[in-house]
Amino acid sequence: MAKTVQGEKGSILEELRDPVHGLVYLSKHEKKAIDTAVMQRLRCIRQLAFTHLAYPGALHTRFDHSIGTCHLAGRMADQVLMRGQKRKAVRFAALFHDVGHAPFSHVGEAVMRRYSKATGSIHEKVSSTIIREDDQINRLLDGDNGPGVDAVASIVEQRNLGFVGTWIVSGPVDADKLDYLIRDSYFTGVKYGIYDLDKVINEMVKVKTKAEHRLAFREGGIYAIEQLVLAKFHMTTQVYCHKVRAKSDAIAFRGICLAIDDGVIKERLFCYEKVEPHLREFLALNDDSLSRLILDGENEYARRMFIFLRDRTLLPTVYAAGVDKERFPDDSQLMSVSGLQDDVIMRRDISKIERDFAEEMDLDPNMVILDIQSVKSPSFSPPEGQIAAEDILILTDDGNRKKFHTVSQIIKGSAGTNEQSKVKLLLYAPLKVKEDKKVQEKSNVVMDSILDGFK
Amino acid sequence: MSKSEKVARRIDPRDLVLAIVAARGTVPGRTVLQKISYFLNNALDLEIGFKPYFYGPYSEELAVATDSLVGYGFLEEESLPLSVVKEDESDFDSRQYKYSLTARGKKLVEIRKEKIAEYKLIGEKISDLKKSGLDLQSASFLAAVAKITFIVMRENRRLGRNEISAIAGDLGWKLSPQQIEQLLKFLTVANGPKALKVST
Repeated sequence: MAKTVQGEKGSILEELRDPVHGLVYLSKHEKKAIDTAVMQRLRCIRQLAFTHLAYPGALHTRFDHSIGTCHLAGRMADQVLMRGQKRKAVRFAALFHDVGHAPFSHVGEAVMRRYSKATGSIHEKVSSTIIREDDQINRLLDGDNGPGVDAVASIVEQRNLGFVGTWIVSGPVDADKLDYLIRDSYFTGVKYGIYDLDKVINEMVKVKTKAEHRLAFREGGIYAIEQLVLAKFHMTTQVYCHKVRAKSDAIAFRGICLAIDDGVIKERLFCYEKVEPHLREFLALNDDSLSRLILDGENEYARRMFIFLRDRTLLPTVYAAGVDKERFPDDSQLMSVSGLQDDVIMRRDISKIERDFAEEMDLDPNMVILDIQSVKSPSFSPPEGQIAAEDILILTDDGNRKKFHTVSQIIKGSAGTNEQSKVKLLLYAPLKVKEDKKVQEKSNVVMDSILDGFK
Repeated sequence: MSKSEKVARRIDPRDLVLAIVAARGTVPGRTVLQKISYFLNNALDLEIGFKPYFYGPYSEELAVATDSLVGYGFLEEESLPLSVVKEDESDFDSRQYKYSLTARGKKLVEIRKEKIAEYKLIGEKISDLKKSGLDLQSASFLAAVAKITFIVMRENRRLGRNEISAIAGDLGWKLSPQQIEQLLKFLTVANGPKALKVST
């Protein structure tokens, strides 16, 4: 039997062990929440998709991350003296914030962006739909002293920006980021995501502004927040943009899209505007079931992509170039090539480049993948959103109110950290470039020529 | 063309930013840039995503586009001295910026104009905004107009002043019925609805 402890007002809390936070406590209702089918599905969606191909320990899931986020949301709520139903709603919102994730986390999110008209965080929109539509969740939230479906869904939807709880679940410094940075760091085995979590939370305050309430930090928290911002930056460069991870993501993305285009997977399950009537089907998809569908499906190329991933026999990188003034001295060309990062607008151009290369190298274009990676906006935007230093609010010791980037000595806001030279253009294809120098030389010549003609 | 080759959007957000700065000469700050982009997005159906945020409708892809243009040296971002404190509805002192095209940016705009029809349309709409007086307003006024526009368009029905105020409150935007009255009058007098596609 799980261990229980007594919480406030005689409530019973169930104790869980989390490798990152130690002992965490869930209320009776929260324990029922994690036992719902919707939450249990998250055990089968890896937090970092294929990052385990680079960092073998990165097998943690959206499930444990959601529990961690709920735990931290509770700590943040306590810090700003939030009680009662509001506190409950915030914890539930944190617990359910990722239920709308498609398989393979950010890769699935990128696929949804391609097949949907909606912009922004699509999984959050789907999460909100699930919260409102799922019977088990509705009974829990609207039943016996629950906070209410609408209260929880509206936090996930960010409908009330004047409520501090919204910023606890989804803001510049929110429970989601606070958890995943440490969790991803722990499971990958790197130290870059470590920061002073206790200090960040202990310096949180609620402040009243013209537009109601906001989350801010006392001056004593500046250094801990600097550490947090740097942690996000270093995790991005070292883990989220790791070349093996990026390549795996691109291969998975190609495989899923090919499967959708060929009808192996129903497009409606990756289209936000069409998925609502088919939630049950959507919720049957997780990393394993989607892989199975593709590996057993009739599209040979999609199957091959997922065999590459299964066997870790990834396509070689046959071309790599920095997207910068040095490689593209013509500004018009630089603008066009750097625009290839936008998969939505530039889809036709990307396909043409891949087809042209395939034709020159006598390859099937389905097996050629163009990929653009940038530190600022990795193509599959893993942990969504940057930490915008301009949006973090600081209350100084002498009572002044300042934005973080005006008081930090090292973080000057996003304009001060522009990294245009870190944009890279890569091409993956089944060519023996390592074994044969001539193949590599030809790849470079062909691709240089294609890009030189691309304006 | 495969299903996944559909193009969902008319314009690269970077071209939108370049076109706005080219048409105006300079843009005094991120809030003004975001709000003018919002109005143009509605008027020209550019399909760029905006969501409610601190100062009204906000587009993250537009913010990323702006940073990218600064990083590549096409846009100059001048950081104003901290003592110059502009209106900021969060009441927190912030760093203010001013945007203008660099020499390289100006040349790039000339090339892009030839290829992308939206540059001309954007220039015409900016003229409309200037004639309406909207373009000359402060960041907080533009933000307030954008908030009302966002609410009216999202709700897509006739709304009273008190209703707009209540919805704004839910979104964390402070707009009193009197303020809304004043802003709607401005929109009507300035021919705003035609430029902004807002029904009052």
